[in-house]
Amino acid sequence: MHSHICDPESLLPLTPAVFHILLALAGGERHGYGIMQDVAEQTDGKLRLGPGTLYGSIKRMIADGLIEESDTRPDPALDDERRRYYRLTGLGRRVAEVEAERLARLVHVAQSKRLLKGMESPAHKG
Amino acid sequence: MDPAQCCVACSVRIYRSMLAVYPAAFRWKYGSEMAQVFQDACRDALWQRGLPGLLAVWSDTLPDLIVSVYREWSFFVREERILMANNDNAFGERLAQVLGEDPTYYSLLVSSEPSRRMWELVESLALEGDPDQPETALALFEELSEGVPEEQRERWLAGLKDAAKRMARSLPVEGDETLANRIMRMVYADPEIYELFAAVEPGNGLLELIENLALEGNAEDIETMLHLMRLCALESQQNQIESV
Repeated sequence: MHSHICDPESLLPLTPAVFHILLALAGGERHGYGIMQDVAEQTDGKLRLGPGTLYGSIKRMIADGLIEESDTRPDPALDDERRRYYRLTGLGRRVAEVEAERLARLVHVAQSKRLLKGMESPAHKG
Repeated sequence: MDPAQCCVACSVRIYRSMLAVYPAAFRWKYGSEMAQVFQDACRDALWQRGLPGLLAVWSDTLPDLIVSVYREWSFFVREERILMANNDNAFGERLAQVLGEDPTYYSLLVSSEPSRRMWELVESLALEGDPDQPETALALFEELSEGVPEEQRERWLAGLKDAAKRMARSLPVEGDETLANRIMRMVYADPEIYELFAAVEPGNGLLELIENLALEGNAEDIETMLHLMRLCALESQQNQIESV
């Protein structure tokens, strides 16, 4: 079942799990464990996706057209052919971009209200 | 096999068995990958941190399993309702199919839904006129009608009775079979169907139906009607039979 979503902003805000999976795949195709490792690295170990959350998110992201299973396979000598690889779709990349922009705007607001220590915006210094 | 490999293999076996609690479609699609990911995590954790690392994997995985199982079942029920909205019979049939496959799923559905909502689903099952699923509808009704106000229970039972009659009328006719014969066939196939009629109007419900059939002037059904009346006579209707 694939939904026909045209407006990336209609999916915002993303859940943390979905956004981090999109970030992990923005760096290239990954299999499930590779996504888990990337997410843990991106968050300094603060967000660890379990298999249930990971594949529940993957299922819904495929249904929404954000990611797809990759047809390309790595060298079988280097990897287990049973692993499935996933990659961003064009829509998935656009959704990741607009979510990142939304979060960047929030960071800017936090900076203007001096909530980010050591990261004051230039307009408020002095 | 060294002890580390043994620990990982044992953990993976246990985790695989726990995957059985997920909805079947999700488990078939992603179960092997989930087990593979869990195995990878166990191996890395054991290699990097030893047994404490493996225990840490379990401490992350168990809460994840509980939360994701609930989430997947919630999505499953919601998606099936969408199917029902688009196809009158799909949800009822699917619900009955799921319950038929594994009655433990019933407890999951009941625990996540108020009793009234579950009753609406049961009513839909009956009104859809699916002759293959009356047992499921009756079983659910019996359990859910406990504690329901009597007036409401009677109203729902009357609805089920009407639905059962429609079921009988909708059954494929075999040869020159009449409605009475079809009802008879239904009762023989599933004695609980008879209980359904008897429960709504104890002793009289089925008899009234038979009397109506007699008034329709179908002489070929006399034997069938007499047999059905004998069944009703179990509720002290013997005098009525003798008078006919």
